[in-house]
Amino acid sequence: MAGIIEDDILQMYIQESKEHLEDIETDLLEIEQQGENVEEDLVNKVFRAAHSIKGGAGFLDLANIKELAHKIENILDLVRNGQMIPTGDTVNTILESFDYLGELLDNATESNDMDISEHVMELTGLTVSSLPEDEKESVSNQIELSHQEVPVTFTLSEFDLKNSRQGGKFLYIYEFDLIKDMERQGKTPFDILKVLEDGGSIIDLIVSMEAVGDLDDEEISTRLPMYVLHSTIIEEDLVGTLFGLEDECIHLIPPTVQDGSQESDDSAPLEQQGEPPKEDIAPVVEKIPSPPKKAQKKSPQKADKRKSAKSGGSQAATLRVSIDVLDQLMNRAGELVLARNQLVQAISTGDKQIVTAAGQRIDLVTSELQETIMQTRMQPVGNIFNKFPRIVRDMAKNLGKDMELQLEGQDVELDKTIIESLGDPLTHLVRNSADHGIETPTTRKEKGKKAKGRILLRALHESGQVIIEIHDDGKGLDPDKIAEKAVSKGLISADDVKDMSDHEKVNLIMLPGLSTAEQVTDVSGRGVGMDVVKTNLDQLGGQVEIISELDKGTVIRIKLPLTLAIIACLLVSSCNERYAIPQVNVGELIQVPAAEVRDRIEKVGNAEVLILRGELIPLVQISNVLQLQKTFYNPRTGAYELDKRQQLVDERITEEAKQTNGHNTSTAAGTSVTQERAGVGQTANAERRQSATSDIKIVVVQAGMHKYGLVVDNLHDTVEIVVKPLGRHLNKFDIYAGATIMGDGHVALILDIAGLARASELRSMAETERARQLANAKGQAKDGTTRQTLLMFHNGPDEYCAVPLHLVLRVEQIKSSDIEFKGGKKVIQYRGGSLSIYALEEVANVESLEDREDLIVIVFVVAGHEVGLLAVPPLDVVEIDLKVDEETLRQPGISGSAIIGDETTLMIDVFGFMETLNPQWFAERAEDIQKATERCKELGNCADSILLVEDSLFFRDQVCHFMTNEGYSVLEAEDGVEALKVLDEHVDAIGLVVTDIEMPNMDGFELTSRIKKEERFAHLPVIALTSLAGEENVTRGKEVGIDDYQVKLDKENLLRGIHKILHQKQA
Amino acid sequence: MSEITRDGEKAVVKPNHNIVVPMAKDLKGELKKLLDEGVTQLTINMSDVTMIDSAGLSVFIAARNSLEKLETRLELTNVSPDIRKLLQNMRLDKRFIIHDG
Repeated sequence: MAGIIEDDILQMYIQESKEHLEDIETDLLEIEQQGENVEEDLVNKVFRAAHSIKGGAGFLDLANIKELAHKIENILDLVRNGQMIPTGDTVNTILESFDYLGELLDNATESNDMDISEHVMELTGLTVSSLPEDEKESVSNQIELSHQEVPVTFTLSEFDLKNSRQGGKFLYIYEFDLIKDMERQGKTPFDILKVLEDGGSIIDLIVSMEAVGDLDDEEISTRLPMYVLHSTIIEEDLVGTLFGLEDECIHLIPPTVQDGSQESDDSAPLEQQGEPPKEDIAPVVEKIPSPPKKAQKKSPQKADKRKSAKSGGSQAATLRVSIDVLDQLMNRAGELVLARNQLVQAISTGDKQIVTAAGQRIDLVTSELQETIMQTRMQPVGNIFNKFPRIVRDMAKNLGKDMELQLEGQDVELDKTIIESLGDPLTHLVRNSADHGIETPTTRKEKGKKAKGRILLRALHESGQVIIEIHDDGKGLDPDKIAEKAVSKGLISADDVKDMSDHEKVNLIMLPGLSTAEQVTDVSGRGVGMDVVKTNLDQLGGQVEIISELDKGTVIRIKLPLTLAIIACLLVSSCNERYAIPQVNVGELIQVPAAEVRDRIEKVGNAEVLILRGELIPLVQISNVLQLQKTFYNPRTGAYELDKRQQLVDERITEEAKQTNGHNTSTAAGTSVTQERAGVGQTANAERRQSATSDIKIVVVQAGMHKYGLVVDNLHDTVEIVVKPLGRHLNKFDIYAGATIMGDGHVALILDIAGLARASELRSMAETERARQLANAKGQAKDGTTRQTLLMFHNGPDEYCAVPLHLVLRVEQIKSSDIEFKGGKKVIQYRGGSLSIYALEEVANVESLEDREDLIVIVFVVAGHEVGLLAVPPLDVVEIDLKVDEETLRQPGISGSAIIGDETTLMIDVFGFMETLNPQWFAERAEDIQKATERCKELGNCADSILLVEDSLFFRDQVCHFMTNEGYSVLEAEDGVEALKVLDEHVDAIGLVVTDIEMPNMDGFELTSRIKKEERFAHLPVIALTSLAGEENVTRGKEVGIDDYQVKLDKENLLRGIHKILHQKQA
Repeated sequence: MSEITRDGEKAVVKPNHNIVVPMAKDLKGELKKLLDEGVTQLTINMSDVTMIDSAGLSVFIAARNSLEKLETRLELTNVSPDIRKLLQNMRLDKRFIIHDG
């Protein structure tokens, strides 16, 4: 019967009351903290909340709610007046009462049947206990309040009456007519109550049925009076205008009334008359005692849970939206209708131009409409944040810990559905932080931390996403223990763990099945169902990341999209299929021109990586992960053809890549086949390389701890797409996040970047890179090896050659027919001039290049001359730990050999090579040196020895070799410490120090600064040798006094530099 | 005039007009008469009532007050949504037993 028609007023009241209750916890906790010096404004706020709830309840006949709210109000009033200090216990009682009030409100229609006696008693007890002895009785004393012109009687406690008169307030009884004052004016009684609340406080109200009389009365009364007992500071003459009342409906209760009816004998029987609702309830309570009893025994936490669950349900029904937004929405909807009309008309007349215009307009209006609709769904995260201070406080009490929760960014807005689903995971995480993260005060003190633990919950915007972070300064997570547990549970292999950073280990906690309640304490001290939290957040499109430092604390970072329904996506295509990548995952787009593929893309182990600003980014080919038939656009045929490449780099170094991949066969037949195929490939590739369609397009994406490059065939637009969930049968593929229907009606799958990374078994590159750096450092320290970047090329098919990359000026591709023979020399036309080119066979005993058609010319500068060295593709650049064998294969033009990638590779000595061919280029300086040596011999002051300081044997030998060949005498030292010793002994003979920078024991910078500080050595010029002359090094070197920088193995420049310095000094 | 069906102590009154000022007094008289005749359970069938004013409301309340002395409650049946809303807004819906129409 009842309830078929929604009771709007009741609903409105409940909603409003719940809103009042929302902030109360936070405020009460604040009040507790302020203790004695509590801010009056703050108490007022809570007071008003209780008061508003009470006011409405009175009108709605919700006697229990009214009673409870009233008792709470009394206590708050005492606090406000400084008569009661809000201790933890007091606040506890108030909080619990508010909780119960919330529960009553949730079940408003049955609330009158629920038992509130426990809370009322506690609250009354609290009130009584804080009053001075002589006032204690006033709480239980009932006073009857009436006015001769008013047919009803109000009953209230003496204590309430006294309060209502405090601060010179007046007490009035108003007589509103429900019909005349409200119904006729289109107001609800509620509106009136609100106005009254704003202007004072409603103590009680009675809708008087009796005033109407009964059927025996002759007259028909046309009035339905509602009497309101109101306390306000507003004076009598103003009350009428303020509340829209005629003077005769306002009755001031003179203060004397209070004294007049103070006898408790009188009030006792009157009480029963004046409070019929109470009479009504009492028997009912006795009849059904069980549900209220249950309510009484609930622990505060349980109550809290139930409350949140319930309020979640009731909130879902309605949503508050600002009028402005609604108006905008209306506007937009109107515009949409106009645009539709325009379109319909245009279609019927067939005017294409107008159709286009209408289409554009609809496009614009729709996006505006969508934006506005989204706005209506946006809710501040504060709505859920605000319940946490209470949770943390209760937990602190229960666990005997001292901690506080700080909130930041409560006004950050998120989509309503996200907010609602976020509550549980967040509660979980906050509870975890409080329960397992924060230590007990004693433990904290032992660790030298503040006794009071701190949890920070904050929300912020970051690049179109909302970040929610939970920080705690607790004990943190132990990465090794977690990893151990994960291995022992068989979730990952021990090998996997080896390559993991601590960060990755900590994040293992989110693996399904890692942590369950029993294992919590021994594994990690937390992690109750972290995987559940993660799953929940995943469903919201959120990403969780845990950053933890042992004994310092933990940060849990959740990235959330603003909304779920419509997201911006980048459309890409691979193998003629289109895919959408959520824009939030897209870091940047990179197009690697076909010609640069080899410089930008490298192989590390089996994986291909992109070198991006010094960072290594693993590459994933969609077609590989999804096992699609690879195609490429062939510009010759203008069609898509199957692509047989295995790796991106194969495009240009088919043969070599195959060899390094271990596909190389040593049989002659195998080799010739490989060669043949390589030859064919190259012709095609040469053409394909010219076309932009064979550039490699990479989308650098990021999801959680994964950052990788997705290799796609084509990049399309960024569009806003509507996310459609995948069907049941596709649900379990976690490489897809959903699907969308595009403008042309086609379906595009939305890629799940994190899932894709898992599917392709990617691990974050941080670890790989660190390992590399370590290897690098080790390589430097190891005797005879050093890290060097080499340009690899072939001479004969089986002759692998290498030169240091930094010596190479340029690489040109030519045909053998391009070579001209002029004046007994080979030249090619090069940059408008001609370039002399030489083949290695002219000097060294290597295979002839005569019959090769496709050639490469590597251009060097030697002794100021640009020269070209003929070579055979493929080319490659490798960075390796170089260990050179200077004995076995040494000959003119070849400084030695090294094993690179399982092949014996000849190290080409470009300078030796040129010196043999063109000795005249070097003669000039030799003469100079000769002269200088002679001159200083004449002078008898012969300080022209060079001290060479270098830790790597290979380089030391190489450089020493150059120098002695030039006619210098060289002293050697392994590091800075040794160099200083040598200097000390032979300072008179030494004219120059040439030093490496990176050395063990004492590096080049340190050595130089010592030299420059020591008076005896200060005159010595210092040349520093580096593998690569980086800006930073140069600046630092100049600061400590390094006179010149030379690149190692750049013999030509080094010798020139030495020559210059020694000469200048001597001249 | 109202259509009245009596069944011992029960009576159903079905007004054939809106309960507004001119008619309210008549209805009041009819109800009073029924009560005087010993009716203790009173039901008003509102199927023909589309409007009710303050006078009408006061008749209902008066009837309620009288019935309260007999410890029964006034029942309203076939109440139109509009009237139900009005009663709700007045918070009178809890004072009667209301059946929707």
